Amino acid sequence: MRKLISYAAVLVLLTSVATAQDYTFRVLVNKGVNKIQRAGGGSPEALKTGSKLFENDQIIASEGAYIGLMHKSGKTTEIKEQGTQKVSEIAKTINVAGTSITSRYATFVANKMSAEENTDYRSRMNATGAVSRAAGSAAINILIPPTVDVVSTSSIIRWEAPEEAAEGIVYSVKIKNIFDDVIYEAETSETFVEIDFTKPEMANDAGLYLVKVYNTADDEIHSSEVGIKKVDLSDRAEMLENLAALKSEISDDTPLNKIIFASFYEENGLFLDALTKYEEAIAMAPEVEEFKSMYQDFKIAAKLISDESEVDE
Amino acid sequence: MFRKFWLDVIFGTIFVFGLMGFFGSMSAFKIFDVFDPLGEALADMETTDIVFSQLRDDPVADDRVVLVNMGLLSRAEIGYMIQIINQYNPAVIGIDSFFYTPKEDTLGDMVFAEALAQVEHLVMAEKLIFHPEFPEKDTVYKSWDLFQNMAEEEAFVNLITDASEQADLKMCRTFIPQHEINGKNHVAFGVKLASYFDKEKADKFLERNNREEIINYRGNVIDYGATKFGNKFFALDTEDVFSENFTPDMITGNVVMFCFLGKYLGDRESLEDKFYTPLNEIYIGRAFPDMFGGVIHANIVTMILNEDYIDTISSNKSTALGIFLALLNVALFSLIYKKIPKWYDGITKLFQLAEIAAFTFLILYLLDVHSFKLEMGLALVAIAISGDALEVYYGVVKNSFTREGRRSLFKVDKL
Repeated sequence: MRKLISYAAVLVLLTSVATAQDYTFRVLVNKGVNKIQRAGGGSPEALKTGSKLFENDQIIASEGAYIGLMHKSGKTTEIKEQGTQKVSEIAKTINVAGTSITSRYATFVANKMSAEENTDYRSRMNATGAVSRAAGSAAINILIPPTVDVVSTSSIIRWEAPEEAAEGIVYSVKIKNIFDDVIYEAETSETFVEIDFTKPEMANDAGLYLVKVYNTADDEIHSSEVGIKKVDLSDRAEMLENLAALKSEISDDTPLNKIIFASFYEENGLFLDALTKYEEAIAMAPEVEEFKSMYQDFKIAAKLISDESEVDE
Repeated sequence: MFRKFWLDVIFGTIFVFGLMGFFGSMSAFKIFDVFDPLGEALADMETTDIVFSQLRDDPVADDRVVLVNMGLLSRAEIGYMIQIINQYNPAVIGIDSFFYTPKEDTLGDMVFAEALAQVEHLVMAEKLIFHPEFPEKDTVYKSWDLFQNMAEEEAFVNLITDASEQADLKMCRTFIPQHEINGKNHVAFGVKLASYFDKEKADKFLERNNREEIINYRGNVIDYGATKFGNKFFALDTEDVFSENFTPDMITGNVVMFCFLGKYLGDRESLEDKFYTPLNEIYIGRAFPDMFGGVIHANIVTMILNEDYIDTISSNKSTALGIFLALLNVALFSLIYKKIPKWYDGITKLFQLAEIAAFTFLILYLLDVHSFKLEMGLALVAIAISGDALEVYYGVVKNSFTREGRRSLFKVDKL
């Protein structure tokens, strides 16, 4: 008797394992309030992504539903129509074997040959030559990457005027710390400001400055927010050593030397420092076209402007 | 006689390639572009797109990769989503997005950072910035340190397209598996995620050491017909996660990627981070991009885990093949020209058409059945022009170099 019970228990266990593994479909994507009616009866339960569906279950798709199903063979199908469908019926639509290459090529060619031109204008007027209006804002392109390390004690922050900007536009530059406190604010009609990080109000333990430029007259028009981070001494020890060596060899007071520093900063990903040095070099020697050309190449290479953009001199 | 014949064949072949070079240099100056709207329309199309888009048998879905849509949620909300997913022990969570700076909502940032900190195997995205001239000036963009430092690994999300910036329309067929910047080897996002599921396969893929790999696309997520295979990965929308409307076993041990799949799953209007791929149902003159960037990374993961790579021949071998086929064609056409000149035009044209059709079929067949991309562009062009070019060679070039030939040009026979 004990043996019989053991056999029965093993049989039940094996059957349940087999049943558990022998699903017909799995739900890959589930959009809408869809349900599943299990074969055993009871009330329908919510369909979940990842649910296993068995042969005798039924899917109840809601209005606007999208249900992506993966057959046990790995083949997929989808349900987009509202209503109830038997899993066994859906399974019949799955072509497990796949189609032969010849058949696929032949179908492709046949479809191309039999394709008819759609001359019915009614079915081709779904698009309009207009757009739906939405309130938008012309952006200010700030010439700083989304985040940038800075090693110098002062930096030039430059931006491009928004397209079709009115003459005499005044900009507000706001710098915040990570706690959202405005620690620096300036207004200017130029398209740059110079920031001195040594000033007392710029003290910032976290070492991260969040910069945003606004059109003073309309603060809906603004730049993206960029982060300027004081360089982490421990992370960039080698770079700082090299910088110190460079400073010991050349001074920072001639345009050419500034270009050398700019190149060093650029090579080390310190784009704001590089931009500052390029600007300083050009300010000292505005007649040297090569510097301007190098500055332009730098801005394109650093993705600060696109190739097509014009520089706002 | 035999030697003279093969000399003609060799010089004829050189002439064919010379002519191709001449027309190639003309097109380099875009002289003919204005008269070539068809060429312009086909510029972003490759013959092999037909295989991905139309011919390929319905691939099986991959239940090892789960895509979670971040939509337009705040950082705090994304953080909560990560916490929910993370409790079901995925093999890895990849964040296919950048969070460059802190937000005004400091608490939200803290929630997000805390969620990232709880993930045992977290891969954060990085972006390689290539300097156009000096590789030593290449650099990497990352999310804000507070978030990025939570990552166990970082991996780059760059894909190869012709777009100059993210907002441009972009076609993606290939990616770079790994790239070294300043002595550090950076690995592609899809490769890194695959390594958490099966390190051996990911290493094997990297050992191929190919500079560029063709993505063997398998499918998309819900796309309402933008591709033929729109339902090949598990995909969860934001509310699915918050309401936990999924079964935990689809997460456990699998690769989970948080990415942007539109404002909601199935959003056809969002074009941000959306690419054209060879799976696009419309393979000529494509109208709408079909696949979000995250799904492209998922396709890369699947390709690696299935070890279903696309092999190709090197450009040198492709050139050698082109020259060899052109040589054979020129030899055959020379024989026809000399033996049965009256039949030359008709037979060569028919033969060229048959050859081009056969080789095009071969290209499609090899990619479809053997995942092998045969580059035969040069060979096909050489075949296409070899008949006429050889006629010019024998009729103009060769005659110009013989006294008899030059004399016959000015000698008009009586009618």
